[in-house]
Amino acid sequence: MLCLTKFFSLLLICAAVMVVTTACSPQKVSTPYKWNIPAGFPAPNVPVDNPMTVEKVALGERLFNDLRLSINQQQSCASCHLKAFAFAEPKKTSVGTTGEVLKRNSMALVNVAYNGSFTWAHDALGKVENQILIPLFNEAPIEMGVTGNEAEILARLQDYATEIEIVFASNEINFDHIVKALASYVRSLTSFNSNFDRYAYFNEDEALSDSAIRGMDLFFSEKLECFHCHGGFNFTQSSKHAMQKLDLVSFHNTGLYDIDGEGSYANGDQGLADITFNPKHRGKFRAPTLRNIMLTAPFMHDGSVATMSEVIDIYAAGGRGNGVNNPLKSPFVQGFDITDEEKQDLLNFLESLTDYEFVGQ
Amino acid sequence: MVPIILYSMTYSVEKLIALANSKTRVYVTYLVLTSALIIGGCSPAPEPRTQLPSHTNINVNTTATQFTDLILMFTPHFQGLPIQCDQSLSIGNEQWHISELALFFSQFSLNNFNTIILDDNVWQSQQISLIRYAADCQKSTANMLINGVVGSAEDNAAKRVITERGAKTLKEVDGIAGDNHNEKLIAAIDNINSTTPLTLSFNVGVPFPINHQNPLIQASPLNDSSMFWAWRNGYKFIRWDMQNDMGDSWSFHLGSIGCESAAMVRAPQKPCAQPNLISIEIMLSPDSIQVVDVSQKTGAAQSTVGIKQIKINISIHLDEIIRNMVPTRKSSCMFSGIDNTTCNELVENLKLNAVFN
Repeated sequence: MLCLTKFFSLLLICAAVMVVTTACSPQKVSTPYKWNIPAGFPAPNVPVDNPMTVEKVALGERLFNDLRLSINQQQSCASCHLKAFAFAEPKKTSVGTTGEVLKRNSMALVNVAYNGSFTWAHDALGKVENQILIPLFNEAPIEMGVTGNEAEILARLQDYATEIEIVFASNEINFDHIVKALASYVRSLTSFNSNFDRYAYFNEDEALSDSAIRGMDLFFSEKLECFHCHGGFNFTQSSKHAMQKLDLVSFHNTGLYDIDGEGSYANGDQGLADITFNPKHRGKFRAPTLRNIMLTAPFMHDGSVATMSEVIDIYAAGGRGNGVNNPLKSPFVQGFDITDEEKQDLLNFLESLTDYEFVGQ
Repeated sequence: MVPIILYSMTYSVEKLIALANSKTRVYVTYLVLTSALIIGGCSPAPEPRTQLPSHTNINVNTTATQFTDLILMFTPHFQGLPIQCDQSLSIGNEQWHISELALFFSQFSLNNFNTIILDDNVWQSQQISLIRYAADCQKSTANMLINGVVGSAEDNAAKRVITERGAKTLKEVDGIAGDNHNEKLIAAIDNINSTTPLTLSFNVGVPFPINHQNPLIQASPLNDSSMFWAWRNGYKFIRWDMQNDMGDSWSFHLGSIGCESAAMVRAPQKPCAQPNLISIEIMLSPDSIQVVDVSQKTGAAQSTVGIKQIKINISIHLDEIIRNMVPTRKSSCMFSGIDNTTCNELVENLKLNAVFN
């Protein structure tokens, strides 16, 4: 009799354990993230230690827009990466949260999950997580100003404890969790819903005007050579995805400057050469995606070109000023003749790469 | 805390079940267990952390045990004299104030064949040590010591046990204390004042495999963000920042550059174009070394753990780093780009082997 009582007791304890466990709900919720990309497009590569989940992306979005992440609570990531401008900034170069001026134009965050490299000119960052450390921790110039102020900033973010626990199974608010969530959100920013996409991939003939179609033909022509550097479904050579593991990182000197006859660029920014210290890399910058490009003015690494019309003029001239004769200039920037009508066609094509749904319009 | 509560409550439940002869007691059991689960079950599981080697895995001969404890004490010097924490440096006609002076060191050895195994502590992990000068006289943020043992990881583990539990408990942990068989070294230490001088070798910098790890999840000091070099995807090996009374500033940040990442989601695999790990070898003068016998008796067996403690004073001659250079904002080196030419001079100065002695 006693044995039977013990048996039922244990049975009931087991049941209680199950009930309680269920009642608490799993500590970690990892709803697999479904990429917002059309069927047939390759999935981006994702680091094994930071898988995409719906919950992590949502956490990352909140953090991305949270001013408290900067030391003086004046800037969030979104201060320089504005959604309405495809997460770029309508400013020549960005300004950090304490007022220090950066030397580069804020990059759009469009299909970053496919990037083979990050920032305007860097071949060693490897993944978004590494890039995010730069705005957070950089001290020269200060961007978000986290360095040395971690405790103060983390203390402000206690209201994330539950969310972080759900995502990471640990309620510890630390910068590793913050960076992983931010990276997941940035990876989720995919854009494949432009008029060009409707025309090219969904056979909607009316999605592009005749002018835009003429512009597209020019874009992919050997005359203009645009597609050599802005090729592939993401309109940049610098793409990686599940079907493209080869390293096609691509940096180009487009002849914007030549201040010394040896290929040097202006304002002490030598692009990739400043990372590699290889003199042949002077003036080499990453070809950005052209998706949503019309929302991201001003253009180029230093925001020195105000309009897309001027960008086309520069490429038509084979560079800008002395830069035309830059000895390190890409062989694809040879210049071309273009009529006003052709230029308008090209502009209309570039405009057709805008995904208004992506920017919430 | 929660697992302890859970454990003790479960234990009580087992006792209750064993004694159970009425329904009431069983219900009490459920109540206790349910409470425990509510407390424990809803709490987050801590993320796994890197564990130090377990003491109980150490299995070393206790007889004739001896090891050599090592303390390296660094002192910044300027123009031949040690500098104090609030002291300014007189360079040219200006007074310069140090705001940051920190260096990562690694790969220590004595006489080139005796590896020095660093202790794990807040200033040392993964065999890398951070030295930070108390620029603002705040001792809690400063460290001028490196602690380790000469020998093997076992020697280091033995030292840890003695530090934490005392030599007398050694017997309880299944034979402990390192066994340093290196008679050559012992002889060299015994004869410091007479014969062959000791040489100390080390690198300034963080070795390649560690330099490119995720810095956010490393143990201290590798989680010190002031030494992150995020835009270079690594650490600053040296960080020296100064300001003068005229509003000018000067910085020297050294680290590996040109570290190409071969593949996405992977740290760089091949050596960097300029690793900038500076190899230092110091011939130690006898008066910079102090050897103390701090042998300790062990437990019941009353055997002796032979411990020699070597204290070595090392000077960092800051003026040798900026030899032939006038510090200004313009002559700063943060490896900001290919045209930052003063970096070459500073690196060459470091390689002259006159900075440390």
